[in-house]
Amino acid sequence: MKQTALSIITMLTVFAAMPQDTTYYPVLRQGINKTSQGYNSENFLELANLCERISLVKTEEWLPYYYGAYAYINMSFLEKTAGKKDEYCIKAKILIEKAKALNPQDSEIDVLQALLCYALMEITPMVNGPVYLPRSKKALEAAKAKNPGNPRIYYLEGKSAMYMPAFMGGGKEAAIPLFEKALELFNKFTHASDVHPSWGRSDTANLLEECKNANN
Amino acid sequence: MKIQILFLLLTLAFNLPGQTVITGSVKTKKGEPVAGANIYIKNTFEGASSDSLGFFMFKTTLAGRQIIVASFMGYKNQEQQVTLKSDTLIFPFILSEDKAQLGEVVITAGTFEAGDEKKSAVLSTLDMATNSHGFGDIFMAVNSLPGTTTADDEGGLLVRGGERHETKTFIDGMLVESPYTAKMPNIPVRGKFSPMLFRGTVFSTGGYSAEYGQALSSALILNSIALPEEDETNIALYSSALNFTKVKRWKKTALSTISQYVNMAPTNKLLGSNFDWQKAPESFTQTLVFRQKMNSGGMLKALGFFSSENNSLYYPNLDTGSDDLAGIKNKNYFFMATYKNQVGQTIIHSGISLNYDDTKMSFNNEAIKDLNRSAQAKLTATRQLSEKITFKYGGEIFYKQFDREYLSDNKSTGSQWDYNTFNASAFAESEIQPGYRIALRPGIRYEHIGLIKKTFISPRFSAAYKINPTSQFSFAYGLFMQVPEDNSLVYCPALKPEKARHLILNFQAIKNNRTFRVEAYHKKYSQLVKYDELYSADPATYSNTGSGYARGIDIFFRNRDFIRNGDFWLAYSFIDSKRDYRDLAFYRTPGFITRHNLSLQYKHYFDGIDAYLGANYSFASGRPYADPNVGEKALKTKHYHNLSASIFHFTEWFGKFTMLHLQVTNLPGFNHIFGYRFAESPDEPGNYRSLPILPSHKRMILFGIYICLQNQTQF
Repeated sequence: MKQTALSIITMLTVFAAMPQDTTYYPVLRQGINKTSQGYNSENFLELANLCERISLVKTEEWLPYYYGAYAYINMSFLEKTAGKKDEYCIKAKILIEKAKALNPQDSEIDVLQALLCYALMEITPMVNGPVYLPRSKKALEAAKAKNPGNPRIYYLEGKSAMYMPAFMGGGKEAAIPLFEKALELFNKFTHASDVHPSWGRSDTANLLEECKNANN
Repeated sequence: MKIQILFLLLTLAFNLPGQTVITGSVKTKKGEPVAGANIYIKNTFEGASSDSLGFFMFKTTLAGRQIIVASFMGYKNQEQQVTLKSDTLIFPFILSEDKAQLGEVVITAGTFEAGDEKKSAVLSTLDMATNSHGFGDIFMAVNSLPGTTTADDEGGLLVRGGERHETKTFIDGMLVESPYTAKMPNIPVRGKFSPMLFRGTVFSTGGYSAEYGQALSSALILNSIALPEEDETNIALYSSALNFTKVKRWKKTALSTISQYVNMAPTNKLLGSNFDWQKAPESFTQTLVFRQKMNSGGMLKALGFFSSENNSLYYPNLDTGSDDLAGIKNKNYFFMATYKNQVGQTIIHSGISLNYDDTKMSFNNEAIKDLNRSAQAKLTATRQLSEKITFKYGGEIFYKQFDREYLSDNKSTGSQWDYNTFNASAFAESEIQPGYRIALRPGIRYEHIGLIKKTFISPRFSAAYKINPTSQFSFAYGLFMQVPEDNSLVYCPALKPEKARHLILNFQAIKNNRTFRVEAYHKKYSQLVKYDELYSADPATYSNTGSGYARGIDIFFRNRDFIRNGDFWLAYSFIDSKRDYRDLAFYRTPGFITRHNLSLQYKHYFDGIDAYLGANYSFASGRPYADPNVGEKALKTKHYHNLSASIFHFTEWFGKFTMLHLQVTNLPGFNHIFGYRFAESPDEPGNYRSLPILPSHKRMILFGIYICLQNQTQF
């Protein structure tokens, strides 16, 4: 109850002028919960389809587009064939643009853009790498400018640093402070509601553990 | 299946009052189950996804008249009206393919597309910029595609037995009169425009659209970027060049400037050169690009270009034993503007271009000055008549004034020649898709050549048949004509245009990241210009009696799925060509043609170090030449092998995106001989002295740093 009251207050302050439609929140929450039960394409596809259904009704809400894009990006990571990965990324890009048009000031959408860049780079690193590596960095910078307290920024930065070689300033050791910062922010982070983006926490903790173990 | 039925029975048993169970399966027309389809009650959130066998099931407490929808990517939505009244409804949905699923039927005969937007593209913009043989030259990058001949002493595009001038370059539909740097004997030309100016490239190896004319062999159609996405400032420093780019983007306006200075002297000093340069090639180019998007939706593009180049070198004279000094100075101004807008249902594309090209070629104390001035205006209209028929028509006028002046030793006794022509042309072309599988493109081009007051009609026809979503056959046929080169016309303006007839058959399959295409062609030349080199200034030696043919097979295969992060491609061309033209004494294979051409490329991206490595092996069989010591028998040079490697490394310097680039051509140091030069007359024992024609550098090394200083707006 306290949580709900808090989130309503936050929502009121953030979106003072915008009447918020929360009727779809419980349904969306179910879809998000399902994806945390198992990291597989079926669950993300279900989330994507659910988001499509919601956004067909609630056309002015950014969250269904956001989660639709989030689902397709994850499906792209889970998919094996390049052609399908491409299709999922194209879908995600369209949905991100829609979310951004509705809510241009939210750092979460920039973070998701950075994640899409990672997905695109993974398909054809040679072609997409040089194009999307700078873009992913820019998207994270833009997110920082909007909300430096968003933990997912540092989570993605840490992930990117983790796979970069040490001589380029990367490596597991270099990733530790980023993951630590992300975790610290995750602990402080208050969600506007229980459907507002909250992913990345457990992965951050796991990766931080992995980096620390590698150093010992 | 059994489990599904069991599940169904269970759910039926536990169906609560007030709940309706909606269940069933989703299949394609062929009976294949559709996994992941979205089945839902229209205008509600309620629904489910189909499983791997196409089954779905969900419960709803809604009642009354509703619409159930089944949707899946690439298929048409299926809708069914129902009345929900607390029972179980079973739906067998059969989805039919959305016609878009089969993909667009694109006519690919004689056409290679490059760009980042179209699925049929075989090259991306980045491929163009990072080709390990190209040094950022558009023409060199295109040269790695089949149908082209590797001739490192020529440069530019030699397509299917055609000479360089038989390929014309177009930017946004407008002809570029001087796309290359000025040509010196045995030195390859390079493209003048930066590949980064263009978003898409269409390289036609023949049978191209009726919209274009005056190119016997091929058209290279470059489409420039409409509005750059973001502000950008970058500096590129190469061992032989300096490049500065600044792009400023406002909401609907953009302005870019690209400046480049090239000086080969340091490279020549460092690597040595097979040539004896008096003045190593030095050039400066300045490009200005303006873009304005109008409130009406129209798009104005303007491009201004200036280049200045200068070089000279000593050629050993095989008759006198001393050296000849040959030099070239060139100044080129080019301006073009296009405007594209929509008027009702019609897309109107209009453009103008102006070209001023001033070249001075000196040979010892003599010189030839050429001044080429031309202007073009063009208007095309494209109208979609129905979903299946697109009609495009238009016309252009072209004016050219060409002046040549010969300056002899004492500069006073000069001769002058000139010609001018006012040409007008019109074309009409229609793209018809009678079914989802077939595309037909008939076209016709009318041209009036003012110089000889004659009119020509060139029919074109191409077609494609899609076998399945990934593969298709295409066919192209056309007549092409081109007025002779300035070099001939200036002495003999009465010459008729040269003609070529193309016949092309193509098969292409693209699946995921794999592309395979094979193309066979036959090209027949007629009315080719013949003359006598010794009396080249005498109009009487000129005639249109030459002829020739070129036929062959081109194969292209590219696989980006083969090895993770790896990109492999193979291009092979076989060509058989003979011609009797220019000052050739008899019907034979021109000197730049190599029967077998192979190019193997491999690029590998290393995630860890943000770098990619590219290697390129190219092979060309020997080039024909005639040795006056032996007689008229056609001899062949040694086969050509070249192994090049390049490394691109992406990093950050002081927080700026930086790319480091190292490229080495002819890594193993093969000896390349493109042919031989012979003395005009035999020496005392009766031998014609000779010298091999060599590349300017045995091994070329290029090192560059590209720094992006500013990159502002996001995504």
